[in-house]
Amino acid sequence: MKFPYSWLKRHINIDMDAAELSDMLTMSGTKVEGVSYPPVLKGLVVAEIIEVSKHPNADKLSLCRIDTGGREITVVCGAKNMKNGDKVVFAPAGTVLPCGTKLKKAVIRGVESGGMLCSEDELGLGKDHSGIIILQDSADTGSDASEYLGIDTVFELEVTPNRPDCLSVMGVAREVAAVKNMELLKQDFSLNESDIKASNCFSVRIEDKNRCPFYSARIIKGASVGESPNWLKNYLKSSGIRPINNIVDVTNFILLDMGHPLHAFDMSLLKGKSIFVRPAKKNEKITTIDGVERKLDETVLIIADEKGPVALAGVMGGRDSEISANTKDVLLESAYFNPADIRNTSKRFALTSESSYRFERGADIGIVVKALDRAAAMISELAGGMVLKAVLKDGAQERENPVISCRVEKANKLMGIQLSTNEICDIFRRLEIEVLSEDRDIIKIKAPTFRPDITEEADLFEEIARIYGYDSIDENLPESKIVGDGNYLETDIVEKMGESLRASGCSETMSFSFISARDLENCGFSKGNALKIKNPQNEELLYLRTSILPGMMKTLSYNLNRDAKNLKLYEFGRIYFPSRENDSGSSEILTLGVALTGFRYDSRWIEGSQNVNFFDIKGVIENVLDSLGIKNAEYDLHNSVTFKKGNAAFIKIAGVPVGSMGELDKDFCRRYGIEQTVFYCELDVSETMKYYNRLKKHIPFSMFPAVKRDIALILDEDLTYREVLKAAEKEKTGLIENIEVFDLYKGRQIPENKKSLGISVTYRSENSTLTDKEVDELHNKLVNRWVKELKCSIRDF
Amino acid sequence: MDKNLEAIKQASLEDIRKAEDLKKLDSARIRYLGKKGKISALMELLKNLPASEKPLFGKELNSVKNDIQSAIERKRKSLEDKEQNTSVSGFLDVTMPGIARRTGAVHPITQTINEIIAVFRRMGFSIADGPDVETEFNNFDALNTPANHPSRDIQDTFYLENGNLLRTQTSPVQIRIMKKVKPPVRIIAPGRVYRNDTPDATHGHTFHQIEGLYVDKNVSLADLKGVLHSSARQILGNDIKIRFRPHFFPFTEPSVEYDFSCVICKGKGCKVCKNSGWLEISGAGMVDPRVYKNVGYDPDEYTGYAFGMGIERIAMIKFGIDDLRLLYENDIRFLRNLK
Repeated sequence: MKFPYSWLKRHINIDMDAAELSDMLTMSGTKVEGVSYPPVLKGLVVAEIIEVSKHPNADKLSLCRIDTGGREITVVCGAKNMKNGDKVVFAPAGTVLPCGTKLKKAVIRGVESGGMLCSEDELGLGKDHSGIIILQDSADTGSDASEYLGIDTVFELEVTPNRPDCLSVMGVAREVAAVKNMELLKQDFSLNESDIKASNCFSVRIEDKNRCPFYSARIIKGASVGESPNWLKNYLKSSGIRPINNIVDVTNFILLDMGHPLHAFDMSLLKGKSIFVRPAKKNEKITTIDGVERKLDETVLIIADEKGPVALAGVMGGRDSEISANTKDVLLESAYFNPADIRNTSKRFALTSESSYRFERGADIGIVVKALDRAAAMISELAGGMVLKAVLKDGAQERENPVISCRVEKANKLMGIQLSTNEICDIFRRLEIEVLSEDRDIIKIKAPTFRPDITEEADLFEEIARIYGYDSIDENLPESKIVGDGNYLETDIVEKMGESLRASGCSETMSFSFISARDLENCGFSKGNALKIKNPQNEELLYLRTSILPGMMKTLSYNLNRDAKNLKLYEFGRIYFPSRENDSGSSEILTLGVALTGFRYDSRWIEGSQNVNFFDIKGVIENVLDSLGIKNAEYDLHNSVTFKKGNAAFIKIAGVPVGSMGELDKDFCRRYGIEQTVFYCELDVSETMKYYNRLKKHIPFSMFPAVKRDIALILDEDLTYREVLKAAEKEKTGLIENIEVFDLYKGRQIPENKKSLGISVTYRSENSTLTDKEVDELHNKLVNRWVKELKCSIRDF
Repeated sequence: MDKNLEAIKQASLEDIRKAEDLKKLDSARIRYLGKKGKISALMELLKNLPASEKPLFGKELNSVKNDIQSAIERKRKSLEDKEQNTSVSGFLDVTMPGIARRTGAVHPITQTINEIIAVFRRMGFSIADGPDVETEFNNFDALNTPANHPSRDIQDTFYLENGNLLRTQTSPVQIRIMKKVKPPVRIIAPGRVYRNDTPDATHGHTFHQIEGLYVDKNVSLADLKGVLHSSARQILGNDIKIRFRPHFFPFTEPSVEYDFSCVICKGKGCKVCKNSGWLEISGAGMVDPRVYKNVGYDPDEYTGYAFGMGIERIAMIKFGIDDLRLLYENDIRFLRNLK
C-alpha cells in the first residue's frame, strides 16, 4: 500500500515530519516499509510549445520553440511525444537536476539549446523516459512547474492480512487519529441526481446471497470519457496505479481513498436491462480486461448480464464491457462479496487485483453505498453526465458484528500493564469501537464494520496494547519454577560427537533434505520407501532423503570442482522414511554422514603425501564412539551398491547394526562427477545414542612393572584380527594387560594368501613383578594357542 | 682373544657404526645376535669345546656379545634421537607450519543454533522436538490458520503424496508439546522448516527456526519482552536494542514482530537495515486462546507467550553473510573461514 503524504493530509490535520509519522505507524502496527522523499527541484518552468520543427543537422532530434512566460527560447529535444501548444516542463540553463548535473547552454549539432525539456526519468519522478512530460493544458505558462508534478513524500506500508481497513488512505488516517487522539476531517461531496429513476431502466439481482450479501449500482448517463486532471493522475501514479481515463481513475481513487473496490461498466455494451450476481455455469467463458479468456464453472462467482458473464465478481471486469473512449453511459458497481469466494476465484485463475486483494481480506460493508455515491459524484464532476436517481440494490447492507466482553483485569494481567476501565474505554472510543456497557471489570463492545478482524476478547487485548504502545510496556524477567528435566541429552550427545569429528579434522556441512529420483537409484534405494513431494520445485527436490550420502556427494563434488581436493566433512541430519506408526506418516532418523578424500595429513612436509584409506574413516568413527563411551562396537565386511566390493564394513553395537563405512564405489562416485577415491561412513545417531555411556568409571591399575613380548604371526589372509584377539581372550590368566598390533605385512618372504601380523603383548600382574621365566611361560602358552587355533605359524627373522 | 672372535667383534662394530637407520641396525643385530647369527653360531660351537677351553672362550664370547649388544643399544638411541630431530637438525626454521592436525569447522547455522540454545537453557527452557513432516492439523488448523489461508497454497507449502506436509514453521511443536504436557510448559524447539520460496539471496526453500513457548499462570507480554531482550543481549551483545511492533499471526494475540537495532550501522541506518536502523528478526506474541482450546488448555487459567526466531537471519547478521545461499553451498573456504 503506497500513498503520498498530501493525500493523507486530506483526511487528517497533521504536521509531523515523515520520519516521525513513519515511526508512529510502524509502532502501532502498520509497518512503514519505505519512505521515498521527493527530489529537490528548483527553477523548473511551465513552458508552452510554439512550434516543433526538425533539427537541420540530426534526424533524431527536434527543435522546439517555446514560450517560457514572455520569453521565447529554442530548445533541442530528442523526444517525439510533443506537439504545438503542449505545456511542458522546461529546465533553463543553470538548473541543477536531481542527479547533480548542472545544465549549461550547449550547442547541439550546430544549434544552440537554451535548456532542456524534461522527462520523468530526468527529474527523478519515475522511470519513464519514453518522452517528455506533458502537463495539463491549464498549467500557467511561466509559473513554477513543480506545482504540477505531484512532487510529494510517498509512504509504502506493509499491511498485515488481518487489517484490510488499512488498505486505504482513510484507514491509515484512522490509525493516526486513534494513536494521536484526533478527529478525521469530513470528506464532503454533493451528489446531484437527475429526476429520472435508475430503476426505470435497469435492475440488479443477487442469486446467491451467501456469496454476495449486498450489491448496489448507479447509472451515470452522458459522461464524456477523457483524461483525468493532473492531481488525480499524480495521486494514482504515486500510489503505483497507472491512470487510464477519468471514469476508471475515479474508481481507483475511491479504492485507494476509502478502501472500497468499485467497477464501472460501459452500459451500452451490457446485454439486456439487468445485472445478475450468480455462480457461473459450466462451460461459460469470459475474457477479462487483461485479455485472457477464462473458462468458468459453478465455483466461480460472476457478474452477468442477460446473455452471460461480464465480470469475475470482485476480481476483474470483462473486456467486452470495459470503459472506452466512446463510453457515454456508465453502470457503476459497488458491492460486498464473501471473502472466501473472491479468494477462490483469485486462486483459481492465479489472478490478483487491487480489488480482489481487498475483498478477500474483508471489505467494509458499511461504506458500500457511500463509496458508490462519492464515486458517482466525482464522475459527474470530472466527466460530466447525469446521475440517475436512487441506488439500484439487492441484498442487505448489514453485518452484525458480535458483542464482545473485555475483562479489564485479564487485559492488564496478560500484558503486564495497569490501565483503568476508563482508560481502556477511551482507547476503544479512539478506535471507533462502540462501548455498549461498562462496569468495573467488564466492558462490552461492538467493533465497527471496517474491523472484521475483531471477533474475540484477545483481539481487543491487542488493540489495547498497540494503542497504549508496546514501547510503554515494562520488561519483566519471570520468576520461574524449574520445569522438566531440560531434555538436552540428544543435543549434548550430538555436540560431543561433533567435537570428536572436528578434532579428527572434519568440518560440518549442511545440505537439503530433498533428493532426486536419480539419487535414490544411485544409492540403490527403492522409491517406494521414500516420501515423495507432491509439488516439488524441481526434479532435484522430489523426494525426502533416505540417506545423507547424496547431499554429501554434491558437497564433495562442489568443492572438488573448486580445487579443494583434500576434504574431511561431516553432516548431521534427519533422513525420512514412510511410517504408519506416527501421525506425521514419517519416521525421521537423526543420521551422521562422514566423508574423507585426498591427503591424510595437513602437514605433508613432514608426514608425507599419503592418501586417506579405510582405517582413517574407521579411526574417525572409533573416536566418535569413544566420545560417547561406547567400547563394544564390532565391524563386519559389508557389501552394498554404494561401496567398492570387499572394501566396506558394517558397524554394530551390541549386535545391532548402526551404520556402515568404506570406500565408495568408483562408478557411484562418477555419477556425481567425482574421480578421486572417497571414504564414507553413515551412522544412525538415534540408534547409536541408545548406547551412550554417561557413567565413566575408574579402573584401578597395577603398581607393578609390565613386560612386553613381540611376535609376528603368519596367518591366512582372511583371518581377522578379531579372531586373534578372541583366541587370546581364552587365556584366562588375567595377566595379559594389552595386545597391540604393530605391523601388517604382505609380500616378499610371506607366502601367497598369507599375511604377517606383528603383535606386541603386554603382561602385568596386579600382585607382583613378573619374572622373565613367568612371562616366557605365559607367552609360550599364548603363542601355542594361536598356532593351534588359528593354524598360523611364527615368522622367523 | 680368539682371532676369529676378534674379527667378528670388529666387523660387527663396523656394521653397527655404518648403520644409518634403525632398519639397517636391526639387520646388523640379526646378523650377529639373531638365532642364526654369528655369535649364536659361536655359542653352539662353545658347547663342543673341551672343558678346559670352555671357561675362557665362554667369557670372551659373552664379553663380545655384551659389547655388540651395548653398541647396538647406543646406536639405536642415537638413531632414534636423530630420527626425532631429522627436521630440526642444524638450523631450526621456526616459521615452518606446525604439524598438529587442523581441527574441523562448525557450520555457522549450528553455531547460531547452539548459541541460542545455550542462552535459553540458562533461562530454564527445556528442549522439544517435532517431525519435519507434519500433519496439516498441527501446522495450520491447530494454530488457528483458516482453511483458505494463502500460506496453505501449494505455492507456499510443500505437500507430500501421503497427504501430510513439510512444516512451514516450528510452531507445530507447540501443539505437540501442549497436547502431551500440562502447564507449566517452557520449551524451545530448534528445527528445519520448509517453504515453497524460490531461492535467492534472502530466500530459500529450506531454513531453520527456533520456537519458544512458555505457558503458565500469569505469564504476560511484559515477560515476553524481558526474555527476548535478555536473549538478544546475550546473543549479540549488551548494546543491542530491541523493538516490539504490533503484527499479525493467526496463533498469537496480541502479536508482535521484534527487531534488533542494526548491528552493522549501530542504528544509524545502512544498506543492510534499509536505512531504518532496525533488523527484523522474527515474530512472537501471547498464545491465542483459540490455540489453547485446540490442545485442551483452559484459556482462563493459563496464559503464555510463543516466539520464533529465524536462524539464518541471525546467522547472516552475526557473521555478515550477504547471501543466504552460501549457507547451503558448503564451500569449504566459507566453512573454514567462519570456524
